[in-house]
Amino acid sequence: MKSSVTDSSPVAVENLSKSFGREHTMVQAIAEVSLQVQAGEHLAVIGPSGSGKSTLLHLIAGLTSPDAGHVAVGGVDLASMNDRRLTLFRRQHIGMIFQSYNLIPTLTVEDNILLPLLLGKGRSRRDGHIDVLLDTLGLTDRRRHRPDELSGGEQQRVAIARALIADPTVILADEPTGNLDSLNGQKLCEMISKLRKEQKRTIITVTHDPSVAIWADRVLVLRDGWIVETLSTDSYSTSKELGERFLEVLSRDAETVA
Amino acid sequence: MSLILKLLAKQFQRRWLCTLLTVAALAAAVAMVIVVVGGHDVAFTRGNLDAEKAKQALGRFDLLVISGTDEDAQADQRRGGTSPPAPAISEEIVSRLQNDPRVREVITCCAAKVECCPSGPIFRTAMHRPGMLLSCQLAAVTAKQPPQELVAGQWVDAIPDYSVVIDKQMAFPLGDAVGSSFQLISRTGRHDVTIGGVLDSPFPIRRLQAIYVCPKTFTRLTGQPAATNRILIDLAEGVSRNEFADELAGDARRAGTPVHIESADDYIEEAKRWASFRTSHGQSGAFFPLLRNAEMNLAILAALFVIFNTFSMGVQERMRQWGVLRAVGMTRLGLLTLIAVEGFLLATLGWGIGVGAGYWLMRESLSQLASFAGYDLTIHVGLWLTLGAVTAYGAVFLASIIPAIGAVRKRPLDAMTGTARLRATKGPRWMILLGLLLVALNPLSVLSYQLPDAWADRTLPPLGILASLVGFVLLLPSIVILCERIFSHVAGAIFRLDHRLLRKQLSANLWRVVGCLSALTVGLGLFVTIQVWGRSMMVPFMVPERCPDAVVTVFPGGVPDEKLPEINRVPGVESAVPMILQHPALANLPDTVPVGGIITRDVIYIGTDAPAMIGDDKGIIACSFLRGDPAEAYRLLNEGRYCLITDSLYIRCPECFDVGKTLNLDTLDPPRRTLTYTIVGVIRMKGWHLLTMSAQMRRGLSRVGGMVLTSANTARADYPGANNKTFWLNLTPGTDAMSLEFPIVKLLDPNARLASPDSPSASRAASRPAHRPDGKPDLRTGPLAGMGRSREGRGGPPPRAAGASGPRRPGGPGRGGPPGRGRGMDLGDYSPQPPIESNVYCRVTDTAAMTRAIVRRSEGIIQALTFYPLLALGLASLAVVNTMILSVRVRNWESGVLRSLGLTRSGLLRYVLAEGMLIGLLACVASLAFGLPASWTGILGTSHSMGVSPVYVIPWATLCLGLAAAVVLCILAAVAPAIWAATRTPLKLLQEGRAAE
Repeated sequence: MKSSVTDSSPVAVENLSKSFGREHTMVQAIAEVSLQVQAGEHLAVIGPSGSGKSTLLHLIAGLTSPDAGHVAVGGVDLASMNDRRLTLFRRQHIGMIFQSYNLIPTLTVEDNILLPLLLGKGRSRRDGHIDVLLDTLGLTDRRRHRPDELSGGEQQRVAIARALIADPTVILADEPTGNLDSLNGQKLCEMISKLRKEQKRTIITVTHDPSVAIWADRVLVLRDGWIVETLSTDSYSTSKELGERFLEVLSRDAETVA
Repeated sequence: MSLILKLLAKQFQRRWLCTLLTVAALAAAVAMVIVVVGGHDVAFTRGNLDAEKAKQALGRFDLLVISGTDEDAQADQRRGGTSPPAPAISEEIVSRLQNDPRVREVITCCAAKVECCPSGPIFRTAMHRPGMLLSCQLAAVTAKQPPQELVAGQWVDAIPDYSVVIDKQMAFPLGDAVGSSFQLISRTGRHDVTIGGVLDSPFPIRRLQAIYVCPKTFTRLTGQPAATNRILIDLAEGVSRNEFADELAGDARRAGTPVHIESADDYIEEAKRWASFRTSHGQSGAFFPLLRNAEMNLAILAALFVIFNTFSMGVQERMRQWGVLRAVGMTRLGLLTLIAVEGFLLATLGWGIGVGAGYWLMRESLSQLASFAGYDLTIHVGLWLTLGAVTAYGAVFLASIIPAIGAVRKRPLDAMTGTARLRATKGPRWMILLGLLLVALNPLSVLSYQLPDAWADRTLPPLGILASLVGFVLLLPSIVILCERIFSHVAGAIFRLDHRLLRKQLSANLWRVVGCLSALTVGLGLFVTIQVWGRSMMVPFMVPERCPDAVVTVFPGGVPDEKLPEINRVPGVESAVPMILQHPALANLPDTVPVGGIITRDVIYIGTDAPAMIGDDKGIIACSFLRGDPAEAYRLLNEGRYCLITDSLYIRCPECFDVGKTLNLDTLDPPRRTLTYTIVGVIRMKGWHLLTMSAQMRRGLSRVGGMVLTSANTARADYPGANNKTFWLNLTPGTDAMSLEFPIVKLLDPNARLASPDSPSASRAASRPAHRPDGKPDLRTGPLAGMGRSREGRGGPPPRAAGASGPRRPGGPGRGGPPGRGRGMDLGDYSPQPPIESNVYCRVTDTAAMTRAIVRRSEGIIQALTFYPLLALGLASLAVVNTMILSVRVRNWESGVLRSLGLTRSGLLRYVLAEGMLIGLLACVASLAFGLPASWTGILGTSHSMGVSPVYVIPWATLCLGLAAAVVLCILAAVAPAIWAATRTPLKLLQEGRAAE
């Protein structure tokens, strides 16, 4: 089936559905979600716990397959690839930032950042790029350190560097500030925003925190697997305003459902 | 309790493979304990049963009277070869016994020592080979009733000429059926004889083993009249054996014919001594192949490591779960109960299965051994069950105690925050220092061999090995950390992974890997040790390239001086070195010289032309001087009372046996005297031990302390009347060593002739069909008969020496065929020759054939010894599987991250396999690091005790093969966990990993 997901948008999702469990224990995690993210756009997906944010991100990353619908990254339908091609595609085109950093404790900062290249034995091509990244992210003096010797903020910066090292088409961030205090969270958001602007990155961030979502261009509000609202951050000057609007949407939607 | 059982049921269900592995390891350990302990028990109990049987060694008779003194009887026991009948017992004594009312029955006989050609696998011990002759008594009897019950055939008075009655103990080596033939060698040559009857004999006392014939046949076979030199006496009821024996011995002494008297008590004592020797010296291995003490114990150690590794890992893995249980209200006692019940259940299961497996192994092994067949295995079942239980429950207790203490000491919150994430760790420094110290202790144990104290000899080497083992376990963390960096490159290259992904792979699970490596190293390290030690210890016993092609001994009187040159002219003989061979013993030894065990006072004394025998260029055997100058030594030897000695003596006591020192020898044979020589050189002659033993150049089968070389003239002066009996020969290419027998006999006895077709023995052989009833070729008469050997192209028909006269036997009956067997068994290089009728007997030993037999046998022993380390290695692979499973499970999260970052399924598969390979490579390093020094220590100790110069040979090809097999085993052990990980989706791995945190 040829569909709009094959257009040139960095990320295009069409009628995506995903459920877990069987029969009476079945939970609809994602329901008929469609969205498109333009090149250089920063999209935030916001929603309460259990709304399907992370599942949506996993589906976009190709970490799990949908029950229905399509995901295309860089114009390529993920469903058209077998596991090996999908893995190689992910390595090359998708950068992942996890809430719990997910650094390999036995590797140094440098090796953790280079990990996507080490996995592909493609180190030489982008080796020099690591210096720029370390410098940009303020990690130059931490190059030889191991993850357990770093603060939480530093570990997440390493995770960001790792997501960028392969020069991916899109960066997917799953609660990137979830394990950080508010000050470090804000710093990280600034950094991501700066990178996006300077390097024209396409970013999708999943969060439940309006103060993180405010850094995006557009915010999708998710509830029980459905997109219930799309907000433009241009309309909100502070995260507080965005948060209030978010709560308003959620309560309105809850009333509708009731 | 129901909660505990419910938790355990879920645990076993979820971790079924780990549970299965733990049970398998437990069962294997229990089975091995049962086999080891049970095997010893069987051997020891068999000794007691043997003692019971020994009571019946003389059958219905009470006393055996043997002509000669007690010393003569003792010397005769150790003497091999053939000998004329011992002097007769006084007629007066015999007559008095026959008329003594206290005596119920008397059987008189005349015994002479003869040799027989066993053709079957009679000798299963290391040093006997096909072709060696079995020395026994040929007894002429006139009694109408046999001394024991006849189990087959007829007694000597009812069987034809050249027929014999053998006892049941002889039936196994010589033929177990009436009508089958074997060759009997006496001082009148080699004769084919037929078994006419088999006597029941309950217990194998070597000196009682006899072949019974009528006096007429005895005289024909030995050329001697049958005069009474042995008497069997059955005493009347109520007569005291001891008193009667003392009285008889006194009478015989007074009559001028001293006697030695034996009763059943002597045989009982001997049986008990043998049983004790078998168990205390680990010799039972020769009788019972499962009883390789050291190897089996180490295999048990490996199994215990596996149990420890498996169980403690399982326990530690659940630390967080227990934290949760503590947090929700489970008491410390409850937690301990949970661990104890789990251990109890697993141990019980392993014990039950292990007992069954061990019993089965024992039963199957024993059923393979005729002498153990029918042994009741249930006699000591209580002991086996108890020891198996101690192993199973003890190992589980030890394995669970440390993690259990750790678990209950933790606060609930500590346990809950315990993370499954890994980081590289290092072993504490004290471990390295202590490990190095303990490893260094092992070589010191070699010093024990220098100590005369038997206690030190028994305790220091085992302590040294134990220290070495513990030391290496302590060093293993450092070895892991050091080596994984290097091997990560190798594994990375092979599995196409970046080495940086692997370089901390093992140290991240340091203690788990150390546990696994310990189990592997026990087996693999022992494999390395045995291979290096075994191959190295073979070297001093291997005959060198330059050595005589054959050794010939001529009976009874050797070769007179005037005929010596003619030996050189025998067709096929290139050169011959005659020897005057004697068997004195070291005399006047200082107390500091250790004597006993395998170090004996007996020496081989050779009077010969030393340069012709061992000279640099023209010597018939390769030899080097360890001490002294060859030219000077040869010059002094010709001047008189000087000698050369082998290095075996020098190694024993350099202070006593060195150049310039005096060597005292006791002649042993009457008239006894002490010979004194000055040592002019110490020589190193490879392979002399086995060469002299194979050629039966020793007094008997027992070991000798060394070899002493003097000039022929000196030997003649010291042993007046001694002739050149033994020759070392080099043969012309293409000559079959065995073909020299008849020409040499003919040289000394012009009347000698090969048994003619119409002679009794030959006609019997000729009448046999070329094929046995079962269709297999009869080696005695068929196309394979007469299969001889030549210097080149062995296996072809033997070329007859030009000078060999005598008729060829039609169809070749008996020509070279092994007598009386026809079982199609492996005869190795041995093929007996046709009977020769002569009063001269010439024994020919084919050195090359013997060397091949020695090599085959030695390699067989090494292979047998290697079996148990490999068994231990196989067991240890359970630890690898377990380690890999847990390693993969613990790293679910990490694997999920790697997969989500772009590691393919095959990449993850290779990643896990590479870890297995790394473990294997580290095990190889640890095993080499342990095995090479340990084998060196062993070589030093064994060489010293055996009186040979230590040689260190590393059989790299075999080692590489074994080590490669271990690596492959480790990789194979990682396959299942690797597939398990690779087939999971990245998200599943992440979720499982997160759940485990």
